[in-house]
Amino acid sequence: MSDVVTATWSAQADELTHTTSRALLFLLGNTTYGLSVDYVERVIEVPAVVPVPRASDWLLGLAVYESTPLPLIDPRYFLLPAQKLSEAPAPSLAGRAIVVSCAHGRLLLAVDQLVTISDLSGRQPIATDRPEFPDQYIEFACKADETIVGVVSVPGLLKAAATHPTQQDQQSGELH
Amino acid sequence: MSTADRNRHWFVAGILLLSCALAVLAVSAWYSLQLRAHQGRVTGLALTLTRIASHTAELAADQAAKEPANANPKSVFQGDQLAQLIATGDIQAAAIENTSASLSVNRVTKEYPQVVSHWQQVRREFGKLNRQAIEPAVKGDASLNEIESVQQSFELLFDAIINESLSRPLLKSASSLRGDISSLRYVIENNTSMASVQSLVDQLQRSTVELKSIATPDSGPALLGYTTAMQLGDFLTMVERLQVFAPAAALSVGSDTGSLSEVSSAALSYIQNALRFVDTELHRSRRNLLVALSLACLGILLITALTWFSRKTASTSQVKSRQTLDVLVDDISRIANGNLGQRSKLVQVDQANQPIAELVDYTTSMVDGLVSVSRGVAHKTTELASMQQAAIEDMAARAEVSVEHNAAQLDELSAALTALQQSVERSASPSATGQHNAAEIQTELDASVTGAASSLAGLSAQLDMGVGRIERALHVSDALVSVIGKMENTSQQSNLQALNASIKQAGYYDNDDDTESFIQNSQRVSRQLQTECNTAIQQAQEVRADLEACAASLRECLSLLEQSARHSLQSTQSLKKLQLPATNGTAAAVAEQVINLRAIAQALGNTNKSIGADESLLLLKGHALELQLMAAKLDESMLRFELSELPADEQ
Repeated sequence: MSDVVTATWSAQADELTHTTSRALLFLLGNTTYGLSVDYVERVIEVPAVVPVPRASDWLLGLAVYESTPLPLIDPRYFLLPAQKLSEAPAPSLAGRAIVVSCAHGRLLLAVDQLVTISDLSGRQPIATDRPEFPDQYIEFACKADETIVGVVSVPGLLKAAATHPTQQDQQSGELH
Repeated sequence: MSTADRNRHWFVAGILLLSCALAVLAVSAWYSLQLRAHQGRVTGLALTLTRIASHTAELAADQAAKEPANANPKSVFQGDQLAQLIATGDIQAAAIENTSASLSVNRVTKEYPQVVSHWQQVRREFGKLNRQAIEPAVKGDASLNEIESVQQSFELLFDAIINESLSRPLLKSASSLRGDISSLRYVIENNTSMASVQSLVDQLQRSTVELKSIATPDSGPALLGYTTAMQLGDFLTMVERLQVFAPAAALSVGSDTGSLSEVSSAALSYIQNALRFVDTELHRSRRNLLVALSLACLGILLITALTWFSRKTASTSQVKSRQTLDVLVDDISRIANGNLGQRSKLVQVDQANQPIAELVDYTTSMVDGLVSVSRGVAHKTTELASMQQAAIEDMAARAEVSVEHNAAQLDELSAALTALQQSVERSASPSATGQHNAAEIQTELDASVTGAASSLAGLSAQLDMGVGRIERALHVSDALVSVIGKMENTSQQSNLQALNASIKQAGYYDNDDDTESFIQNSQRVSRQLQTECNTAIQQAQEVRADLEACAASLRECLSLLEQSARHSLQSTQSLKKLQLPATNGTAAAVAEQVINLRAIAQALGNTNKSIGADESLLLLKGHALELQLMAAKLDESMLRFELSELPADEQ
């Protein structure tokens, strides 16, 4: 097995830094997601992207941010169900990206549209079985301004990205 | 700073000053109470000394009166002096002065051990003086025990005086005098020559006790006075009684009284010295206290002033930051509402927080850029609207005139053909007149057709010019869309900056309502601006679509007019072909020509219909109305970005 991205993940390390209840709301398709601002370094326009050969679908490429090449990840690959993912248009490389910073480093999340920053403290989690809110990637769902928001679990998302097989693995039949 | 903030600051400062004043008053009241208590104790001490001195003086004087031979002039003088000193109130006045002048009760209380030590020192000095004074007596007949007992009695007396200053005066005074009596009794007891006196005293005490036990208020004022004197330790009364019952003992007491007067004078001087020392200490302590109080007041005032100044400074800084943010939000709001002419100058940006300062800087530059871009949009929109208006009015007017002129010429041609047909039918022969008429009609027909052709050519040229103007308007419309796109991009960048400021602010300051409000306002204004830009772009695109439709219609109209011109040319050529047979032919030939002419007239009519001049005119008018409507919409949209009077430095 080659070119498999491996990492030792400590969700606890990220959870310890999770202190505020404000979340950056963004749109993927017509679905609103939230990301704790503890993980958000800033929001930018997507810089020039260099494609990575034989990379997985979720890895849109490498983009240089502050002289550092960071992976540009398409979160729709993990969050949206397969049917909606196939129907959704390809992510625009001229859109917006969130610079995510966590205990394991930094990366860029490509989003369709940035909405606002909302204070989710005191919001009661609501039970939802929407396929756009998979349990392994969504910490909880709540209502913000009459819109249902799925708060993304960054550790879960990054762990899935780090352990997801590459195209080469898929072609060679090797799975991580 | 607002009036409410200023009033609040003054209110807080007033409360602080009032609290300081109340604290000073409370401390002063407490000091006053303590001073009054101290004054009472010192007064009691002075009264006791006065009474002792008075008793001593009276005792000495009485002794001298009753036993002139054994009188001790020194004792009498010292007793008188002591009484005089005490009676003049020197000690009491000094004590009262000390107590009234002193503000530091704590210091006075602390001085009590010092006073006690002074008393002890007085006592030691007294012992030395006493020993020096009685040394000759020691060498003489007086027994040492007697002298020591006198000293002990004075020690007891001074203990009583010390206790006097610390407890109730009367009881202690009585106790002290009773101690003196006991001391005298001790003296008498240790003197063999006084054995009888002792027995008498014992008897006296027993009698006194007995009398006290049996005495009632009805027993007489004398008995009551005697028992009272016993209770209060009235020394003079007791000595008188002793003199009555024991003259021998009185002699010894008289000599002892002389010693008592001497040592009392010495003790009195020590007391005065001690009181002066206390007075000095109290003055010093008062001065120190006043200095300390002054320093404390100054410190409180300084702290109050510093607190007020720091609050004022902080409040001023906050107000300036708030004003800066308010001015910025107002500017952005005005821009969102389309008013770009009244921009405020942003100042004090450096006093805002760092993320806010970055946002303010960026927003300021964004606003500057937005103003510039919007000004360009407004100019181009105005230019576009004027070009559209001019082109449409010109085209409509010229097209209407040309088509009406063309229709009039065709009507004339039709009337001429009808007249020609009637004339041919009327003559029905190739007469000279008929031929002349035919030739004349042909000429008129030729002129009419030629005029129609030239009119169509002019209309065609004018329409061509209109198409060119519309194409230029399309170009301007493209530029307008581009400029509005830049505005939208600027708005999006502003939204990104606001989000980033909010992210930073969430990391640094959790509950800064002003900053949060400012960021939310920035985001709201950015979104509003974005919406307006989208609407403007949509309207500009609709205008562009209408312009394109108008241009297509004009091109179609132009094509039809060219076709009409070709038909006219063909008609002219046909007329020229007909001219020769018409002049030389027979009636049948003329009739044939008339038929041909009718056919030509009909063809011209058909051509007129085929080019649809009326329909084209209506179509053009419809497009003109649509364009005018869209131009009005665009103008209305751009009015939101209209430029009012700009400052001189921006023009």
